[in-house]
Amino acid sequence: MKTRICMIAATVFVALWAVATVVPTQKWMYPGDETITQVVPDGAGGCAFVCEDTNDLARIVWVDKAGALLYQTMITNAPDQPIVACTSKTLVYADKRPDPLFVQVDATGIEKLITASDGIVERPFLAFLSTAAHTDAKGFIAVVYDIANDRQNVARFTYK
Amino acid sequence: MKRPWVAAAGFLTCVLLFLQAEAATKQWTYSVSSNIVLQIRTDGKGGCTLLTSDMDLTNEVVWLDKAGNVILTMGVSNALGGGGVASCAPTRLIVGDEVDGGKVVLVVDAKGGKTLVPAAAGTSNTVFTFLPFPVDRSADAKGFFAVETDTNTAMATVVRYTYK
Repeated sequence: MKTRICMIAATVFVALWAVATVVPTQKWMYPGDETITQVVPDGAGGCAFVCEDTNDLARIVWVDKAGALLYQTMITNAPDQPIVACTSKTLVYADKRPDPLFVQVDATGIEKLITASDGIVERPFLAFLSTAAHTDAKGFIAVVYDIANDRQNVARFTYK
Repeated sequence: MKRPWVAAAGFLTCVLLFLQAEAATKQWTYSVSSNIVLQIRTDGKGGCTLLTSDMDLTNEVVWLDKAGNVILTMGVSNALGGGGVASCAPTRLIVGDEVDGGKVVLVVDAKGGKTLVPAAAGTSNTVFTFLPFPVDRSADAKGFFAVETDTNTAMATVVRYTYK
């Protein structure tokens, strides 16, 4: 009888522990600005995002899976949703310098411009509606609103 | 004395090649017959589907394989009112359209076969859109797509790049 009670108690304990472990864990948080306007995960735990300050000045920020800064730059006259692609090794975004072009950045911050000899390089007309799945196999990216400072930050969570 | 110089030169070349490795490479181009590219949906393998428009707002879906060859083209109605490309895979396309004023969803195969997603009487199917435009997705694990617009002719060309 005593053994059965112990087994049931152990089973309940393990079940409760298993349920309790499936709780998102915040891995890192990176400061944004007044508004986060685009987030594109790299699929490996990092991401690139765009934030705008109170003067609507936009900044692109690229962080790695540990939340460490890889690259950031102020962008002027860039289109809405300028980030084209983000992986753990490369970032591509649309910019105007002064003509529309793409900028490719490697993880050391070196920029390479993608231009057209007889024209301009752009995103599709409806690219401002681009979406990215903010999730990957291990977790997700969230925008965390800091109410006290009226500021939006970007945070990485794993599922457990 | 010659060998250390050769080794050093070889090492330097490797370093330079490594640093250059992340430059995007143009894989193929496709000249769009109309001059506005509204939407690009990657198939995840190097191909994509375009939703294009001309100045009369006549819309066309153009499905391209990973080499930039046309798999099929088809006209669609009311792309800015609930139509457009919902998803694209190398062997299958899902498109939202309007037929006789009613919204429909089509599954299209690579041979051009179209299957209407069935709807019960009094209902209709739509693809998920936002505001109510089709959603763009122009990057995948190996590369991305860009639209080059000729500033002299205003003609658009879709370009496939790999990251390196």
